[in-house]
Amino acid sequence: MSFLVNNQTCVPKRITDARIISIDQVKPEHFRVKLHCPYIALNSKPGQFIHVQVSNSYDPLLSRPLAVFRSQGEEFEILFRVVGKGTKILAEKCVGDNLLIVGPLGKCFPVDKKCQKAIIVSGGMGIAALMSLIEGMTDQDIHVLLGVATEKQLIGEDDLNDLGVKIHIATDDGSRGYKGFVSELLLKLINDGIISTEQNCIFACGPIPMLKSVAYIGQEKGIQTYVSLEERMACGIGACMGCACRVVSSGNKLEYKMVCKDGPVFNARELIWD
Amino acid sequence: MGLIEIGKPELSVRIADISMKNPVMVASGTFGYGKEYADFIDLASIGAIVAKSITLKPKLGNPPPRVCETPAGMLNAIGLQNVGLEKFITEKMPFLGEIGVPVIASISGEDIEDYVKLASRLNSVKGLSGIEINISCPNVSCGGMAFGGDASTTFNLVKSVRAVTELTIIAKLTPNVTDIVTIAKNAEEAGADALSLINTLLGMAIDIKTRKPKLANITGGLSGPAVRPVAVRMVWQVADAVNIPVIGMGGIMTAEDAVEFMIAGASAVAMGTANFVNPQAVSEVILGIEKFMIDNHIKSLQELTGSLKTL
Ligand SMILES: Cc1cc2nc3c(=O)[nH]c(=O)nc-3n(C[C@H](O)[C@H](O)[C@H](O)COP(=O)(O)OP(=O)(O)OC[C@H]3O[C@@H](n4cnc5c(N)ncnc54)[C@H](O)[C@@H]3O)c2cc1C
Ligand SMILES: Cc1cc2nc3c(=O)[nH]c(=O)nc-3n(C[C@H](O)[C@H](O)[C@H](O)COP(=O)(O)O)c2cc1C
Ligand code: FES
Repeated sequence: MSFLVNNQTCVPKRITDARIISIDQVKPEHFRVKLHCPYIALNSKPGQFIHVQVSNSYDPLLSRPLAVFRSQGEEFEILFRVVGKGTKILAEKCVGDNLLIVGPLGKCFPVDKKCQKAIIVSGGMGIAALMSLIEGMTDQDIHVLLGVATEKQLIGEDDLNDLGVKIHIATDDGSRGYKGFVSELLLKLINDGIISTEQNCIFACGPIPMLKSVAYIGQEKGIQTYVSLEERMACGIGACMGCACRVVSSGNKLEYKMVCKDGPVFNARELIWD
Repeated sequence: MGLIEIGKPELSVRIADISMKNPVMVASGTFGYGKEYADFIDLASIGAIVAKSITLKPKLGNPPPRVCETPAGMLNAIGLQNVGLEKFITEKMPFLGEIGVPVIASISGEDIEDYVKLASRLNSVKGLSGIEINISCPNVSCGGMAFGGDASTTFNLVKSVRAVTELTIIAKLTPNVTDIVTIAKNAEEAGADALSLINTLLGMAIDIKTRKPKLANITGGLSGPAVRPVAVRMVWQVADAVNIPVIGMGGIMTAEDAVEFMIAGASAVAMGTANFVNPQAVSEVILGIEKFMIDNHIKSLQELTGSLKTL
């Protein structure tokens, strides 16, 4: 068994306080925040996420979903990119501030006994949701593909080096590694025989067009593919029906599942992409 | 100082045949079918639970994105995704019925016939205390708000439902009308035991970079603190005009907000969007109302409801 992940037992969701231990601006737009929060740090599983109340004013009103990037002991880290109001406020917090957090939320990446190796594909911020999965893998044959628009946005490389996995980089502008999309790089690595398709699984997180291409490659090459989706959320716990994604139901019909409760991790075969 | 002064204030309230231990309910569509919040709050402490609106057949709902944030509020266009009448009874009611607080089913349909079928089937369901008639959903193409916007349709619909159930019926009104008082009076006259207001306000938001609407449905229902003044105004107008209890909702986040609705005329209140922001919000508001009453020497809720003074 190559994965330490156990998806059988999930702890109850809770509201907890998390105290900010450190804030690092790792790239112009990217922040890494370490939080003291035993309940989440000890109980959250790779693929699960948390809901963060960024402000107790009513604007922004709703919590922001973020992945648990890495955890150690009673502390865990989040890694995020400033894209709007909520993430901007979060980036401007101070060490010692308390954040209200709800979690752990959603389903984790599954244990797949057929997988002895793993292909991790990250697009943009996707690595934030994938790092803890990689951390939990004991197998040595792990390939991690990082795709970003430009080298300036490349994150997580140092962590991955520490974990001793094989790293492959793609940038849209060719400023680093393969020039082009990370899905193209995936196909190339498979076709060139650098990544084997035997007993392998793909775990991917990133923008929808990228996930769609990766799911297609997985299907073509006969590799089991799991993806972690993002959707706009309100409750984060399956109550509002707000974060719908399209899936194929048992009767081969369109059905909506909730990213926050039924996901964010889905078997790519389940999903309808457009 | 007598003993009464330091005694606990009376938070219980009756809405027709529904006895609640406190006046704080959860609003339809924001609390799932109860279970979703069980990790966070003692469900038995809630005044009453109004379940997500159900339709005769399961409903797929609208394509995503279905929600977006707006200043101090949010827009939603869920499109009434729900499990349908039969699954509600067989899969959701057993859990809801065991909680030990009044459970109110919310029904929605495309024509009067749908509402009648829903109500008559629910009439005999064990553990159900009431039926809320959702004639106010802005996010479905037919039915919903189309009914609640018209006084005579409201009358006919409520009357038809009244004829098939002994359960307490609550008509949930839409704010997307020019004269909510006339609609409210028609619902009362047709036999509604109580009124819920407001449902969401029809709204819209655009992503100016892509020039696309933020919701796939283009328009959606606005809820949260942003709508509160509109809701308070409507509760005040309606409570003044009818003789049945009014359940006030729209942007209640704190106990102070709840008290404001009660002063405007609400006998009970419901919380919706607040549950998304803080899944324990209902518990905090219940405690907060009690504290407000103690601090202000208020012994029962009747002293609050409709106690608005003039300037
Ligand atoms: C399960 C899950 C895990 C996530 N994990 C991370 C993470 O670890 N690191 C990270 O940087 N980001 C993550 N995201 C995305 C993150 O939630 C959004 O970037 C954030 O909510 C934006 O908030 P804002 O107020 O800064 O932006 P807003 O002003 O709200 O929006 C700015 C832009 O971001 C988009 N957006 C807003 N909310 C979301 C959302 N929930 N999903 C996708 N796009 C959104 C908007 O459409 C808009 O284009 C995750 C999303 C989900 C659903
Ligand atoms: C996501 C969402 C779903 C809703 N679904 C329903 C519904 O199914 N039936 C209904 O009568 N009202 C529904 N509502 C309206 C609420 O019950 C409530 O009337 C409204 O949101 C105002 O209260 P609030 O500001 O506290 O949320 C929904 C509201 C939201 C935000
Ligand atoms: S965010 Fe409410 S159901 Fe997913």
